[in-house]
Amino acid sequence: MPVRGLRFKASRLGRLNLTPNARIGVVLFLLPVAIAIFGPFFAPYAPDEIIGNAFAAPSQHHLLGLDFVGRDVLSRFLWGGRTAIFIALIGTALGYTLGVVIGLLSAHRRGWVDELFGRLTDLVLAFPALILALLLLAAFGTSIEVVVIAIVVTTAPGATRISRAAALEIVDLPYVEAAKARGERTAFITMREILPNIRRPLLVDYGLRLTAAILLVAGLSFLGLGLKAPAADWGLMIGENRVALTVQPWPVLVPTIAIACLTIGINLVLDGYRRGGVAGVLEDSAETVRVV
Amino acid sequence: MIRLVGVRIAAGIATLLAASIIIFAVMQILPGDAATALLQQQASNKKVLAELRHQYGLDRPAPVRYLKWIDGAVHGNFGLAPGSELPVTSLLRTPLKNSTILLAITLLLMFPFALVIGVASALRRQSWIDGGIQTVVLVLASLPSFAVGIALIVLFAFTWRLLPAVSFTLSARSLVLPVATLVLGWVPLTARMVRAGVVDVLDSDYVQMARLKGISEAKVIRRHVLPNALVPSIQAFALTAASMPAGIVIVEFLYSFQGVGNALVEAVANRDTATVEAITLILVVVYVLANLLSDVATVLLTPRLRTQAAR
Repeated sequence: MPVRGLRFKASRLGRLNLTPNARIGVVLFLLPVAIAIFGPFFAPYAPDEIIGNAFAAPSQHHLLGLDFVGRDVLSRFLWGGRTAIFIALIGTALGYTLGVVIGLLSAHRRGWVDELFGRLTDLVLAFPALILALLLLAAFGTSIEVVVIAIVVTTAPGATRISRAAALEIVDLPYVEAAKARGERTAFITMREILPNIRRPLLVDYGLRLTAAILLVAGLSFLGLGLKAPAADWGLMIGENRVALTVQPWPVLVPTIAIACLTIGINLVLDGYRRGGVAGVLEDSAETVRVV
Repeated sequence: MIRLVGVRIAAGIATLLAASIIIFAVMQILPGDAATALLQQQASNKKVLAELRHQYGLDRPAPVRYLKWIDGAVHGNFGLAPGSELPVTSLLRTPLKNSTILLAITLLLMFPFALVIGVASALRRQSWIDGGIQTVVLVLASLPSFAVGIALIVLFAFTWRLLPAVSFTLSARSLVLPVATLVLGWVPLTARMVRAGVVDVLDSDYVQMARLKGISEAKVIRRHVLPNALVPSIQAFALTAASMPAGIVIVEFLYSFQGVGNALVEAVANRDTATVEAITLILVVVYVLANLLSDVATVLLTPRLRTQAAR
């Protein structure tokens, strides 16, 4: 039998009936994502084009007014979702893969491997995520690469813990034993027996980490330590325009609302999954990640 | 029991030591050091650089510097801040005081709120009250704290003009919005965990047993549910308290509150190594201590763990 690997079939995950809250969550989540993907095609101006006075009020030509150096707020908003979302996606994808590999390895090998990675995980988790990110930024300088590394480093330990715990629950079950007795290779057992059976708790947990990462990127950019001017990024827009909240609230409010929709949306969907009882080891956990 | 508590404390100290090594090591990786950073503006001169290195003790091997740093840190001495000749400790005195005040008020206000909301929600579980509370709590818990803060500023500082938008100087009025932002952001997390803890107890066999014996529901809750919900609640509080030091960074920055969070952001932007090391170490100590307290409280308050350890 060939190793066909993981199949995240939408139908399998969508089979359970979404609660009303979760439905709202899906819409809230998809809205900013759609803006991030398609927004730039509708932007009336270039995101870094200075076209008027700083903090000009909304007008016919500039629906959301201008920002602190006189750039079109609407255009910057339409461009600014890409970095806000995709840096978090890339970082969590890398970090989560790393974490799951380590977690499954720990569950498989146990012994000193498990012990070593367990200690390492505890150690990284001794730092609050934002503090660890700030430490890395202070050491390596502020750049997108360092932000991605910070996300990887803060995502991996959680992924390690949850995948290890989920895998340990099933490694001694008869169907895994049967696969071993058939003489299947470890890679095969991992891909065909273990991963498919722990995918739901992992997916829910991944959602939590993704929220945390989106908030981390937004928070760092807000502090002026993530993306650098003149980039168009939601977090950065909030940070650099907040001094004029009274005069020109739109460059602060619109990206804030977009980020809020994103994180509220993900959490509403995850909450639906957890209540739907498909989250396995995560079912009873009330943990919500707050990093910023 | 003493042994179990001792083991936890030892593990906490080991974690702190390892974390301090990481903080120190990461800050050493940076290309160049405080001396080159300082000289960047001036025309760099090899001889001046070497002198400056010697002055800051940067010419000695890393382990020696680490031991000197950690020895100083234990005695409250974090070295000199590059750029000024002032010790980091004296520069951090006021921010530390301000942040401590902010945190203390927030924590004091937060606990009763979280407890009432969590317990009420759990006792009315499956009702519209619980549903409503859970949705509001989830939405608030998902929001970044700067979003909560910006909403509060727009409402209370600009629309109704009741409170200052900037908390540059410390006063009762300037504390209101930062405290409110932290409370609104962190109460939901605690309340969710408290609710989960109470729900666990409500579903337990001994509560079922008490009900089957015919004890009135009010008495069951008073005698069996609430005392047993104490441990998970305390854990929830400790976990929340642990995540607060990171939370104050964003909130302090938003309100220009002169605390350690703001000082940390400034130090990272300026690559002020000594200050970054000092503040991250302080925040990690707070974080680890809060987690340790939660562990120890659990051991002390859970009779099962007490007797297990005694054996």
